[in-house]
Amino acid sequence: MLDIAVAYNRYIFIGQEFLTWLWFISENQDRLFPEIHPEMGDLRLGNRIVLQNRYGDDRIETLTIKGDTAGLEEGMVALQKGAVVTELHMILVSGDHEWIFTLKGEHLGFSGLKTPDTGHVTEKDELEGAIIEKVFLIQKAFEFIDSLFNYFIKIRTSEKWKDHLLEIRNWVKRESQTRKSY
Amino acid sequence: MALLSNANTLTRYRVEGKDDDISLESIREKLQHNRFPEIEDPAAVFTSGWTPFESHYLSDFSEKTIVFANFILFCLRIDKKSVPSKILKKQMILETQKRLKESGKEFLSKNEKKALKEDLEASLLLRIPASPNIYDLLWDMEKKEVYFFSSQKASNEEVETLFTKTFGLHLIRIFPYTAAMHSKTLTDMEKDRFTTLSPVRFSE
Repeated sequence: MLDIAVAYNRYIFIGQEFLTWLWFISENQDRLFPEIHPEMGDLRLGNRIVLQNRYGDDRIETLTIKGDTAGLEEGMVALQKGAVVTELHMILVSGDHEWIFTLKGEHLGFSGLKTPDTGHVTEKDELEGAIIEKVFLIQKAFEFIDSLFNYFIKIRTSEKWKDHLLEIRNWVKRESQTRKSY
Repeated sequence: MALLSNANTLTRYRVEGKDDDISLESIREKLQHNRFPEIEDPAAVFTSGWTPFESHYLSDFSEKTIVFANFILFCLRIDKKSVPSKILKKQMILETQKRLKESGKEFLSKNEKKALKEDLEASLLLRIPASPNIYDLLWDMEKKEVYFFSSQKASNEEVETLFTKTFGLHLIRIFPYTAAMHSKTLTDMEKDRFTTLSPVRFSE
């Protein structure tokens, strides 16, 4: 095992590639989700995406797209220029339930995680039940993300990755040209 | 109670170390030993310690619940003092005027200004109350995981330090590398290949 601090910085790019891949499969291969986790119905992009492009001379360009009606044209153009996704707001669907959150590629941590509704606590003896329910829903969100991440790493470390990368590149090329013409 | 709030920001850790001899009673004792001090030090700029989930400002664990189903739940409290810059600026102007008048000088030297600022800051810190911040911590002993309800660098560093000091166990943050290395789904070969990966471009 590598030193934790070294490993954190050395493999930041994996989390960013993972988010970029999530964007790709959410738009192109959504049939995969139930295969990856039987309880996962769908994964949609939410209303915020942050992309970053690093240039050789240590310059960093960051692009944030947010808003419910925001188009992703600039995001596609940024991908075409070599950017990766660093933060992704997503809606994960399982049955009638939705988890809404922002996932950061750097550390795979959640921010603004909204789980499906839980009952309100009005009496002290309802507290334990509410905690157990909430923890179950939080752990379920991690379980989904772990399944997606493991699936991605399996592809990323396999011979299939070359073909998969080609598909992603074709998607980026196609979408950046299509969306540019809007 | 961040855990029960509408939206959560959280960091996940893996707990590493020898935990065979940790009983619920020893956890309570260790928490009690490292609880947030009930008597606050007026000169302290930074104070931290554990508090029960049910009473953030009374840190005695002896009568409080820490076990909820299979989970241990308690909080990290961090109290910090800082002097608002506008108050410090105002005091600097008033005190500088006073000193110039008393000494008959036209200006204070750079070193005098620096010493005055430090004195004023120290004196104001004694009078300003500390601002408390509470962060929930949920420990799943079966999974050997901790969910800490913050992603701020300072609070994360403090929880990592205090957890080790309290329990003799280490919190290892789960991020892409540790997630892959500790995965039960990935094979050893996939983990080996992971370590050799380098970034790709998603455009031609």
